[in-house]
Amino acid sequence: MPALSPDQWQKISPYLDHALSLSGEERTHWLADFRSTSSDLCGLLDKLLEEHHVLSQEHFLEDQPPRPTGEEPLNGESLGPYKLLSRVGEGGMGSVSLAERNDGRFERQVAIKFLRFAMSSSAAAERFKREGRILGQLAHPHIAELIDAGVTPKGEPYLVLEYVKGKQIDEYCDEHALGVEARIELFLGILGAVGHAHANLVVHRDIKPSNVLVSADGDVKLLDFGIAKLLADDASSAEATLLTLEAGAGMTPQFAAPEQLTGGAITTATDVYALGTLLYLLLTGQHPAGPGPHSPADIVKAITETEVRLPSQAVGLANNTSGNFGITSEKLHGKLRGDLDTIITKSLKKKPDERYGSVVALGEDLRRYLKHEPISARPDKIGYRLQKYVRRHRVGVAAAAAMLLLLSGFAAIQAVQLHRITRERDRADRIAQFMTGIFKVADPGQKLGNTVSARDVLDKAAHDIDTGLARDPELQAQLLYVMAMAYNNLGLYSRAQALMERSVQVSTSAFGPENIQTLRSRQKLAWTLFQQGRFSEAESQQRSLINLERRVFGSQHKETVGTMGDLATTLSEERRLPEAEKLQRDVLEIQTHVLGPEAHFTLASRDNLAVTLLYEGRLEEADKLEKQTLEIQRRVYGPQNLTTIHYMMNEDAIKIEMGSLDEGEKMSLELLDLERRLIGPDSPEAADTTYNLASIKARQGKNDEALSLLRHAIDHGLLPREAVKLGEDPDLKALHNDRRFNALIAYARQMGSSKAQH
Amino acid sequence: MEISPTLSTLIAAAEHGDKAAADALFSALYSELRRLAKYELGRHGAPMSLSATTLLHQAYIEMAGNNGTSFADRKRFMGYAARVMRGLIIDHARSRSAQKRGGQFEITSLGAEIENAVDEHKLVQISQGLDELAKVDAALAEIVDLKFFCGFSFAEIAAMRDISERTVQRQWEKARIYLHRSIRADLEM
Repeated sequence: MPALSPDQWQKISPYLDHALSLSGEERTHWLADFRSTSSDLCGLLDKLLEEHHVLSQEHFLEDQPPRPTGEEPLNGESLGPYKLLSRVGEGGMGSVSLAERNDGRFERQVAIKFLRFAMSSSAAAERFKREGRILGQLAHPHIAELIDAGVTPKGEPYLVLEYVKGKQIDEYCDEHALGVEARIELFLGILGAVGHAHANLVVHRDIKPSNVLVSADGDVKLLDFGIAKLLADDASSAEATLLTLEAGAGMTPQFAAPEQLTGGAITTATDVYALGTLLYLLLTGQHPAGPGPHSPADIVKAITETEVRLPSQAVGLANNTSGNFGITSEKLHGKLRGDLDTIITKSLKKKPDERYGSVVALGEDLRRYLKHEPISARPDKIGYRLQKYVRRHRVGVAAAAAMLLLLSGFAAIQAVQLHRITRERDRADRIAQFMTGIFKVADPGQKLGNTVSARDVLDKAAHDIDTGLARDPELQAQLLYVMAMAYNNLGLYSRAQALMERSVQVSTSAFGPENIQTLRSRQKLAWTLFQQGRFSEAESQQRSLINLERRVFGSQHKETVGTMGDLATTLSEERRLPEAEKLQRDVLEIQTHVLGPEAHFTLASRDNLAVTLLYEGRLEEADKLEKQTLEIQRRVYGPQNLTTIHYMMNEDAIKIEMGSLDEGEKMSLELLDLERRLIGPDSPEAADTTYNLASIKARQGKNDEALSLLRHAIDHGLLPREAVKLGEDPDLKALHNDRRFNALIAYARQMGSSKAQH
Repeated sequence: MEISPTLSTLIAAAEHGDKAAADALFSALYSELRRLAKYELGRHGAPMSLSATTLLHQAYIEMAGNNGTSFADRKRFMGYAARVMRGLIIDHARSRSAQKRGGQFEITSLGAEIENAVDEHKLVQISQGLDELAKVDAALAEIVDLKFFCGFSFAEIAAMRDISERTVQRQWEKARIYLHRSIRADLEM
């Protein structure tokens, strides 16, 4: 009699229910009816009811099974010199039991791991034992000792391991609310262990949180060294890779390196990758693939294909993690941003030879980070301060003609006012005049340059919009937009964001979600997010906006393409460079075709593409493109223009990165003159360029000039967060032996903290 | 991936088909039940047979308390714990039968012998049948774990699952039919 197939069971189940709920004559009658209507199922139903009769007589399942008595099931069983005490764990690869030596020679307890597969031959068993003993020679305080390896009479391989009482490292860190530094300290212990094993030519191959335990007194131990290899070496599973082993155990290869999934060579770089994944997890609270849950296919794709999201960006996504670190997510984001982003990303490179050359090198960089020294890893291809500099001056494609848009926004206000509400014409004029005033102050092209007073005016205007225009939502939305743009131009992004959010809100309710004003406000809102470094949020806003714009305007419309250009810029800052480059080239093609090769938007796209090429390390191409762009920009829009200045800054960065110091110097001087005249002598732009000039001088060995330029930058507009990091800038390394440099750093810190108090 | 998987998040993940979480949940419950059993026995000072239901109730109170969470419903916990209890009982039966056969085992005091107890081989068959049944109808399999392996009464199970006692009873009969048949099919192979 065959067992029931699921299908049969599903079909028969309701009838069985019904039959069982009836008794005696009722059931007999019902069954007779059933036989006449459903002849194919009645045979089975009869058999099952008969079965029920039999089992009732047998008292099937009525006797209780023996109860656990508290005695360990394996208690007393011996395995070689070990006596098994209790089973302590059950995992994918097998079970683990606690044991002790039964010859009285050692007091201590050990863990015996039974591996859930059979040795195919005695030769394989011999090799398993032999290699196990080699692994046993790896003595290190942070490696759980492998004491012995053997095969039971039944052919089941087992390992005798040091018994480690502890918590999985990630749980330990969270439970103790360890901060970033403490987590790194703990992680360095693991690095020491892995480094020791590597020096002995043993690769771990399976580093993951469940293999890293921390004892109650904070001692970290790495388990299962080389065991994945022992398993893979079994002759019967010559093809076995970590993937097949794990897949066989029904687990996800979450901590595998790309080469473990694609069948590449397993080297020490494989462990570097897994350590990178572990560090990512410890410092962000999530897997590099993003917040879970993930299917195995997701994980494989994430590991082999997807560019890793920067850790600092990842914590922006998961707001609940930072509590485990005892700090706010904003602070956590700030700590990860920069060096830690760089260190982790470098460990997680898809190509093994682009990762750290050794765990020792990884450990050195982490130690440098802890000591606030410059790290050796360069973020991607270009210098890290330069990178920040470039990012700060990226020009949004949609926001490219910030000033033009301001003007057109302003014109739109007037048009709407005159057209629709002529009765209120006086008021419209008054506002228009008011706005013109603000506009003039905030536009660096107006040479007024007094940003402080511009901000005062803006603050007052923002206040007036809130209080005075509440009953006129159309006007309010437009003014909010213009105001937000003005704040944006002053670099006051969070204020700009708040106003832009309100503009979107007011505009959506006044004009609807598909109105051009609403869409533009959303476009700029995404851009202010970008400017604050909140890339993932900017990206998702831009993507949803593009879908909407495609529907409303069409896919080749200036606005749609503009948002696509902004998205490409976001991707570029997220270091998803190939994706960014492709999108930028698409955008550029449409713009060249639709708007013309010399249009403002087209030039902004060219500039952005050049920066992406710079990030990719394709310096020659970047230089050529930026040079051409600048040439057209100067010819068409003139040199005395904020956008021209931004393109010049990027060109300057490219030159410096190329090591063309003389050209860089020339460009910097030209820029500095423009910035001082047009934006102001104390503007962050002028300070940045002064800093660039200083780094060139430092690299030329001209310490005196470098130091005095730096001093000048600190006194005139250098952002405090930049100033306090002078000592970490690798571009200024040449100054490290100069005692005056230390004094300058101290001075910068002092200035930074006094500025922060204002 | 879950960070710091507490029991309730483990249960949630396991219910979403996360095999690793299910494994972790299983071993956590396993060691907790074992620990409790040991403690209970130690307290009574003499070998004795433990009531599985008491053990489960106690485990629930301790684990729910330890995690600072009240499990959204006790039912889910009991479902998982009952499944684990089955594993515990079978392991126990295995060691008993191994000891009877002599072999490589040290004879230790066992506690009250239960006459007419279901033997190890049959238990393993039932357990395998239950695993099959769980794939077809998880609720039925759970009732067997609760009733047969843990000794809950129909009334208790009905209350736990918020269904009528009659329904529990009918489901129990259905499950018995399924298992009986699957064991016989096994014998014929």
